[in-house]
Amino acid sequence: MMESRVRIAVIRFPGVNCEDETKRAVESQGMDCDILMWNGPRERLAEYDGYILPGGFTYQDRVRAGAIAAKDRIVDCLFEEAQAGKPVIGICNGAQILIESGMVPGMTPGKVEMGLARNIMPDRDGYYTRWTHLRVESDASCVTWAMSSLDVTSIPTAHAEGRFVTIDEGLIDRLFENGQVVMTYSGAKGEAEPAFPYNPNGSTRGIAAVSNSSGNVVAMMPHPERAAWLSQVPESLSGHWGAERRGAAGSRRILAEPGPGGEVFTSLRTFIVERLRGRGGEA
Amino acid sequence: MIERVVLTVALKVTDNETLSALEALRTKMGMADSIVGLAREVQWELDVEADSPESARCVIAEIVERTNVFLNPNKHRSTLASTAHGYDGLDDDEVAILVTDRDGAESAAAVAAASRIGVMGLRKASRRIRWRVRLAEAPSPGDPGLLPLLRRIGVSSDRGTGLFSNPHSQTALVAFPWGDEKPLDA
Amino acid sequence: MDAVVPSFVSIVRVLGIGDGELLHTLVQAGLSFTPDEARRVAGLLGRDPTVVEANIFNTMWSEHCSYKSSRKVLGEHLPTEGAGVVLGPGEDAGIVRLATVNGKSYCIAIAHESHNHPSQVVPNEGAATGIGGIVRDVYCMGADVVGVLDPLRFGDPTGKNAERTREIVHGVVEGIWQYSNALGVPNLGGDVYFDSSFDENCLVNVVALGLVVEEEVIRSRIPLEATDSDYDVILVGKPTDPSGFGGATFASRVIDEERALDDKYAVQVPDPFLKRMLTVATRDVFKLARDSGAVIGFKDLGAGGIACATSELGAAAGLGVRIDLSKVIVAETNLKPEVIACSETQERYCFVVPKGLSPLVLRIYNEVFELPEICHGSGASVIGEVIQEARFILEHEGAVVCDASTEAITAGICYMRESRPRESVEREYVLPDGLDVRAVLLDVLGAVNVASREHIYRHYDCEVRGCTVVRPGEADAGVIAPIPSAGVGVAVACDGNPFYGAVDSYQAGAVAVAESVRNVAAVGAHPIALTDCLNFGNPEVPEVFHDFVEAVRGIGDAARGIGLKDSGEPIPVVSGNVSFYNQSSGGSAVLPSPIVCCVGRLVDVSRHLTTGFKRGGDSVYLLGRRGTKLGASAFLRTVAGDLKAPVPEVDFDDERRMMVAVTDIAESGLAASCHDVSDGGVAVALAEMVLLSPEDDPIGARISVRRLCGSAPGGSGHDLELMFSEAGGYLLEVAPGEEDRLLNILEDRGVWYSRIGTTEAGVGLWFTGTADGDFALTAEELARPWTDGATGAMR
Repeated sequence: MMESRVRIAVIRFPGVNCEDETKRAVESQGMDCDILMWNGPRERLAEYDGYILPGGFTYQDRVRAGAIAAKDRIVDCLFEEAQAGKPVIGICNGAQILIESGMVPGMTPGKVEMGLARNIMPDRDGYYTRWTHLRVESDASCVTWAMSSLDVTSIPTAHAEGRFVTIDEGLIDRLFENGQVVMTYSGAKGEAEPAFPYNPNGSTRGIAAVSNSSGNVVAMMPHPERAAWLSQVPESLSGHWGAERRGAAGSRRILAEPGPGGEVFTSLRTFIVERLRGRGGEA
Repeated sequence: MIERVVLTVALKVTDNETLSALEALRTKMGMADSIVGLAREVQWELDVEADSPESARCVIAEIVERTNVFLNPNKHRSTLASTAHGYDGLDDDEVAILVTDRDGAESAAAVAAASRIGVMGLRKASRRIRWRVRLAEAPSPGDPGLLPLLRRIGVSSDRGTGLFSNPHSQTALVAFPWGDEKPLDA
Repeated sequence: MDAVVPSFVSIVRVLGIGDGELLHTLVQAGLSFTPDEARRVAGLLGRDPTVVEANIFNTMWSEHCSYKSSRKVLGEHLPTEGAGVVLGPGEDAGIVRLATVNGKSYCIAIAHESHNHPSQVVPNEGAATGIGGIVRDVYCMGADVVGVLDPLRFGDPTGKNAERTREIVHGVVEGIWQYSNALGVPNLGGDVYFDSSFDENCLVNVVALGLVVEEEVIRSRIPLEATDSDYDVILVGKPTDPSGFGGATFASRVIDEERALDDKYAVQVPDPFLKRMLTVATRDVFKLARDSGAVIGFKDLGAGGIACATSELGAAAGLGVRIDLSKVIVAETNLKPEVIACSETQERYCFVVPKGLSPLVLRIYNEVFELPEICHGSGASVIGEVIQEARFILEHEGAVVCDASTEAITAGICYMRESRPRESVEREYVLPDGLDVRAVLLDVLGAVNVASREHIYRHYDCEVRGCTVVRPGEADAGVIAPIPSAGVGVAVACDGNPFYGAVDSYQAGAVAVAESVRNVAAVGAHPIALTDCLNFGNPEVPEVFHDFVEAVRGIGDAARGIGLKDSGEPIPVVSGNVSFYNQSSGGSAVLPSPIVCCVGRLVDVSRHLTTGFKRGGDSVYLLGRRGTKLGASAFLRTVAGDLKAPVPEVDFDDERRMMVAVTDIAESGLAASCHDVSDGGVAVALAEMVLLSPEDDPIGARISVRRLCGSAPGGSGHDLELMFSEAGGYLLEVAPGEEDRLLNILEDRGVWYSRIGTTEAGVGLWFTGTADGDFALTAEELARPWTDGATGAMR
């Protein structure tokens, strides 16, 4: 029997600007995808298997990045769907919304337990863009389901407020122990806790992505949709993916083959098919 | 000698940030019964090495005149003072919620900007946001419900609650019109 | 019959008074007209103008809107047509065909402007509104903006205005990233130069590139369908406020220190968030129009506001409009009609749509996207209608405050300026003996105009939209693959070396074209279009005007001389802008600064090339003869300050042959990397190829300096000239197995070349056979000055 295709909704809050490429990246990994308006009918939301809050500047980052969107009605619906186990991925500004709404790390669901503070970088301030190397710390989340712990991948970051912080004592240790730290910034070979610019924002212990305890809700600062194809990877990048990219230079493969970010979307699909639908096979 | 100067900056054009925050509080967070107005100021506490309070103010006035690091005269108005309390200028039906980032990232940028234009003497600059909240009922010191209400307005503790400060990256104070200030973080 | 002007409408008295009194009247009214210009207005109207009319003409006739000094020169020298051109200069953006994919003709819309004066006065807002304005020019053609570039010129960061300069650099860069990152348009490149001539007049040029399907292009004019059906005029965006009132005339004036403070209020407040909302909502409006088969007109509001946009919409169709200024959504009450008509409030567009469609258009902005709630007070409203008579009528609170023919308003005026060559400033430069070549190379590499621009571009989001293939800093041009699922690439680069302008304005124009073409070819793309922005001082000064004419001539000659790869037709200049009065009240003008942007096509984007060496054991080839003229070179500035020596002359035939050969080589997949020779000559270009090699597998090279003058025995040339000449050329890295095929192409195309060395992993850069023997530089030694050289100036 044919498995029905996985359907993902990308939520368009006012001011997001990565919805189109996020949709393309989702579709490239064999899923259907629609862009839904933040103020659209709530019932429609339930029809989808998973949700992505894409990057951008919701409400112009007023008050604090993600702070106003976190109070939108649609977040209540996403909260309920997430409680039911459906994946919700927040990318960059989407991550800020999930942190501000207490959906991540969600030790107590809905309680705000972390913040994404301004980048701390030597001799500069503001927005910073760079390709980062990431070490997979947990393969139990919906963005790393198809990867293995300690894999090293490379995905670009671009933000001004991406430093994971908390004042809850012991929380960071517990997140690591629980496998809720999904990815950390690393060296090209996975070296832990590197300095700037490998850790581009001064994030606590290099944390780049955090999930809730079930792994279905993930706040990640790097932009996998900007690494969905090999053509998007810089030729001079260090590490495995740089070598892959150079190896394919001049060939149409760069347009056809997935880049490192592709694995994030593959993970989303297999997480839904294998874990939520409880089937081992491919969709 | 280190002199303290406080620079208060407010927008003179439409403040979309304040309008959005007010809309979020009243509509999205259901506090229309409690909150009737909102205003926003940025306060810079500036430590200046100077012979006198007057010369310290001159240093800051020069930075304001020559850079846009603190404000842009196209959009902002400002006042300079030697001290500023959170409760200064509050009406009887107002409180002020003062939010400060926990780290010094911004002050480094301001000091760097001052030295970039060759103005020496600015040693430390810390920035806080002052939200002036107009309440439906004037606050009173004896009201046991007041502080919990202000926490629900000011401190993002969970999904539906609190807007101005994320306690993990920021600290919040509340100032009352009767001349008192208290930490707002739980 | 002319409308009777009601008595309570204010009049500017022009007719029947003498020059002195008239000038006084004009100044009192805040108009920058000359008395002659004011009389021409009265002549066109057949009466004294109303205050609103006077303000409208004042705005429309200012240099910024009407090119009153330049249009004749541009028309005479620049090629603007060609087989691939869909729309040349004249509307907000030029449009050129890119590729046909699945039966759809995809085109590139491109616009290029300056926002110099505002950026000098309020750097952050000035630069941000520069981006805001240029993207509107492209969006309003129905295109989606796929990239922006920003050529910048700042003062001397170590000179007498160093502090102000660094403040401006910081503010401009911040304004650019804050706007474009939030809007969601990737930054694909630009360039930066520092020189004291820009101390009091920085240059902030902006380029925006859009993608549009040919049959979905929306024209900035009232559709012809409006001659037999009713059309509304809709204004959408930010509520109109007084910001930027008088902005167009502000941009066309010498900056006066005393007035700088007042002028702050002539600058507009940017809002990228609203722009993003408008952009997404407007896509839905375009779709609505397509689906309902309606032909619409669409135009952005820039300089001159409502008056300029709506009159041009009408004039382009030979029709008229009747606008009720009372229906314009305003931010504050009691705005005077001339302010509503001419203010430059940002983030606004104007539609002309069939009456029946108007409620649906309003619904998209006001209800679906909730603009009035989310971007407080913004939204869409019907402000008027199309009329059959070609008149421009404005009403305000029941009174007609403007009634003129659209043609009269939009025609602008043409001036012939006096032109006189400068006295020659060139002096011969004699190469000194005893220079330590190695030390000079490190100095040049660390020079503020040569060193890495990483500190700036790391602020810019270069990957939003997900189409970016080559980012700033990786190659000579930015490359995107803008059509999802198609393999066609677009390469784009901006150039303009101001130091050529100091010596020879004709060559400055020519080299700006040649260099931008080289940059695009070096990534493997062939040019399909050019744009230009011409930044000069006061055109009333005959020498300045002469510089301008010469630069335009240089651009035109180069565009024709290099030509399109396949047909040899001139590379069309499809859009552009002239910025005069970049001159301080003290009298010093900026160096003549023609800045050119080149757009190229990669038939197969996977065949693009980047700068960094890829692997050891490859051969390194130089294309293009080294010259002896070192004028305007980074070398000369490093060792001899701003000595004005003769500059190399661009050889259009050579440039064409090299462009054709290099793109052939790229398309055949024969090269591993490619870099053009420009600032700092071959020596700096080689250093950059080393520095941009893979981070964890650095590749160096061993180079024979004698081979730089060719492979013939007895080749002569001074080491310094060979290494630092900025004569046009390219460097190519080629695997040994591909050399035969490479040489066939080079011989076939008649390109001068020399095999100058080989790459080798981890060795840094070795130069052999200089007069002083061999010398070597490690990658770390090269990296230090190059990384740090300009950071201090840009922080």
